[in-house]
Amino acid sequence: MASILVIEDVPAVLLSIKIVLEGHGHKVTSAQTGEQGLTLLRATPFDLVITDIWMPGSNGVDVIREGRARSPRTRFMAITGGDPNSRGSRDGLHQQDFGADHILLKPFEKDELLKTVSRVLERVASI
Amino acid sequence: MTVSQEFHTQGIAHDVDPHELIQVSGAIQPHGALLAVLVDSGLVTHASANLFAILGRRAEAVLGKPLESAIGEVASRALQDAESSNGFELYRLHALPGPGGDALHLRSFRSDRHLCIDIEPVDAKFTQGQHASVRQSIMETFEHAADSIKLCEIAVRGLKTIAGYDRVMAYRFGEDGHGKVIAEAREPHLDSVMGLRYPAADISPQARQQYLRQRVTGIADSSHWPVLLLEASDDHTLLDLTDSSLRSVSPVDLECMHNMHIAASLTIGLTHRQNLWGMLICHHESPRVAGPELRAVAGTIGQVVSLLLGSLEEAELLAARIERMTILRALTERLAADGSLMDAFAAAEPELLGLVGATGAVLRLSGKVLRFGRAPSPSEAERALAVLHSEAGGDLLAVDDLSLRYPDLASCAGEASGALLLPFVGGADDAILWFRPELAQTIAWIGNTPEHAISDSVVATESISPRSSFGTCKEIVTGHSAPWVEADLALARDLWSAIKAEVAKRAKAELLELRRYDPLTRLPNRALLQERLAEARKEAGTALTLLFLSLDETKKINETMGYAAGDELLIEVARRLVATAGPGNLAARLGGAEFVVLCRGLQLGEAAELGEDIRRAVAAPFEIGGRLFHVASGVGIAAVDQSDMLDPEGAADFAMHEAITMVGAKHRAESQRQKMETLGRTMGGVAHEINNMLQPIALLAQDVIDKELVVGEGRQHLDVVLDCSKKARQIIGDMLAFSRPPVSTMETHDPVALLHDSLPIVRQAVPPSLVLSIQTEGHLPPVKMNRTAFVQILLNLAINAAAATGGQGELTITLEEDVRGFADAEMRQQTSFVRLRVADNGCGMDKATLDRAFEPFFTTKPVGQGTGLGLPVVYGLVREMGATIVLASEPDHGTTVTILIPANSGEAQNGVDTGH
Repeated sequence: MASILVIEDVPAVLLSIKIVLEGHGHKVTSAQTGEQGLTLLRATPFDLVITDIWMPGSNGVDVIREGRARSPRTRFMAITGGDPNSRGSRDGLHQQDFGADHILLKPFEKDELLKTVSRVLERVASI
Repeated sequence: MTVSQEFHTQGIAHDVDPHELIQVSGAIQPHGALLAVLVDSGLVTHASANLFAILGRRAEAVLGKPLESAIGEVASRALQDAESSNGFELYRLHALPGPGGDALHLRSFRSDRHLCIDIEPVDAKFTQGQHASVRQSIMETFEHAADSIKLCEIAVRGLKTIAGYDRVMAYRFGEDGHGKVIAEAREPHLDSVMGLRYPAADISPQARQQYLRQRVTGIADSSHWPVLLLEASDDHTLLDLTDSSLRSVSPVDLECMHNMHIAASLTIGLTHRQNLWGMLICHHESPRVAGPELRAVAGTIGQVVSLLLGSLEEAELLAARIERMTILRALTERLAADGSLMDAFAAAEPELLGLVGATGAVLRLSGKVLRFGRAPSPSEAERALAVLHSEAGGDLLAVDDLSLRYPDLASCAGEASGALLLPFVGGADDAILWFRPELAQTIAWIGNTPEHAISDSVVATESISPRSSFGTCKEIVTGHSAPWVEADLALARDLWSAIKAEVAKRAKAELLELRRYDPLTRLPNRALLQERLAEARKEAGTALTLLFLSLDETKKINETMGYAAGDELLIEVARRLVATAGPGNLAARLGGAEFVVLCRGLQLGEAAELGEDIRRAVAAPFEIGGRLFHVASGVGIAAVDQSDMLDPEGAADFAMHEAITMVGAKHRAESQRQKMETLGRTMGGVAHEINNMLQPIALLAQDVIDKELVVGEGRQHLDVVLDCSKKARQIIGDMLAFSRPPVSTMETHDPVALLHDSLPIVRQAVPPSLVLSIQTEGHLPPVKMNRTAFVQILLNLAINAAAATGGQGELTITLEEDVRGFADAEMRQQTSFVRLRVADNGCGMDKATLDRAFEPFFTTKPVGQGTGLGLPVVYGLVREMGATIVLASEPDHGTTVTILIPANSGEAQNGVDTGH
């Protein structure tokens, strides 16, 4: 129903998210790096971008920032498995939104993913 | 046969063998006569040559005849009666008319198988009756004699009056055998011999023995020719004339007397306890007979004087002893007083010296030396102690010629000629050494000094020569002190007994005292601490705080370095604790590796500062066995107050618990944290990776299930897969939670609101069958904390409770206000708290489990059921909010977790308060 760009550097994760979203009827485009994602984003407007935060190369924060600038109507969701350089819990992550509309902490469940996506997309619709 | 040929005589040599048996002289003095009868036959066997002059019968006429022929029937029968009844009896009077009509006195005595008879004329002028009254008054006067010298003075005067001799002397034998004139009554024209000494050899040992047997002896005329005894032809027995009053003395003695212008003498032996104490000696310039009556009176006087001497001496000794005992008692009392023995002695100089009549002393006790009075210099005293110690061999030793025995001590002869050593048995070189000063004496000897006389050892080879010159000779004696007597030694021994008793008493008191002290560290033990605490609490108005110190890892030190090292560590900790706590505060050892300091007059804040100081002191490295290492420690403080508001027992318990659990948990958490930290760099990375790996599993397994791509058994497999992935997620989450850095934001909350907000999450996490009950007090002060942390704490505790109760049981959560004086391990002081209590009635924990409850990854749950991180996480969160946590649990009786959260004075808000 919506066009979603998923940016994630771990192939299995990328694939599993794509399968779930497509199973729900969304159109999913995937990218494995931040640069790839940005390139795609410049070319095409998406309804939603789901991006991993900590990736080698440019990270998700830059993607979100630049993405918003280019495409104000696009929603952004951050997903993350935690700061690989951190020592501890991910409490702080709640506080940081990375500039995204929502954050999901990996590993999230299928339901959680679909519900969050729906909610975020509703906002789009209402604007 | 001529008369001279028939009679055998015994010759007398002029130079006699010193061992001559002078009693068997075969000769008597001429003023009396002697007969001897063989008892068995009754025939006369010996008769003195002068028998006719005395008895009126010729010796030749009676020899070989029955006794009656000599002395008549009556007399002989009387004598035989006496003989049969009593062996021989001295002083038996029997009168027999003599040729001149004088009465004769007969006296019998035995000589082996012979009965001998002394025959003497009675002196009509001298009867017992005449002098009875004189004797009586003398006896009465004796009673007034205060001492032995006075007694002898009375005796010699009385005896002179009665006996009429020119000079009567009382003569006393000294311990060296020499005699000294101690009393004298003389005719005016004679020179005095008072104080003069006679060498011992003047009166030979044989003579002394004589005097013990025959107390009274008289020589009537020193110029007399001894009268020989004639013997019957068939009996040549040498008679033993010891008991004869007519016995003649050796020619040596006679010549002595002659040379000294003494014509007659009467000598009475004075005995005391079977020893010859001295003599009463009467001398006369012209011949004088001492008849039997006079001898009897003199003998009586001698006996009385002997008896009185004995009792006088004893009385003198007793008086001296009583005086000394009083001194001894005074000295003993001083020793028993408080203070060291050395101090007691130092204060008791007069008693110490007076006890044994010394003028100086040194005391050596435990290596220290004290000097009293006039004592030699320290080096001389040391030397004296050393030589006398070795000579004494552990017993008392008294010498009165120290400088003569040990010439190197001659320099101190002035004050130390006499020395009395009392060694302290069992006390190494400890001893008391008393000194007496030199008593220079000038002794006037009759004739030559004893060096010129012959000593006993020489007697065997040389002959006794009669004294030739009787001038006096002066001898100056140096190097001697007044001699020590038995009384002195007895008192020294009594003093030793008193000292021993005192030492024993002190040792016992010390032992009792020691029971209040820990033997290893010498600190007061728990018993003494409790005593002091109880005492201190009675003092109103004094602030009291208890400071607990708990050490960790001592077991490890014992195991790796040995128990001696562990002991050393504890001793050093104790030392540092005492040094830091200061004199006003009592440091005690409770046991194991736990210590307590009772602080008086310190407010909580000051106590907290002290606690900090102590912690720093104990944190400094320890050097043991050449290695340096650190020991972790925990300190907890509780205020002990008399008011009801603060519960001292509870506060103390809490403080101690705080110290102990904090140490263990903190240490373990620290090490885990450090491990995690080294791991930590990658912790996030690992988590990140694993989370990524879990993501596809979570999504795709669910997807397969949802799309029903697999059914039946395959579907069940997938359920398991999903379940495991969820658990894996939880584990990663727990690990991250545990190793996380402290939370940075704290907010002020109303604790009741917080609790109610958290309840749904908690309810959902535990089985429905677990009964949850909540109790809260009406109005509680706000607290500062992180909301999420609070939820996490409750959640973990609830999950533990659920496991402990097996899902069936009760979980009670209470929130109350708590007021107590308390400073935690970080020295944060607080008196107002909110107490959160989570209690279950589950299986509880035993002590071993309880000890490890906060240990990361320690769990009693079966594998796969728990991560063992629940409580450690709670612990970390609790500490971050400045709270304290205590676990109480008993197997089968459930577990109660109490968390004291410091109350915040501000109003409750939900705004963000960036604290910490």
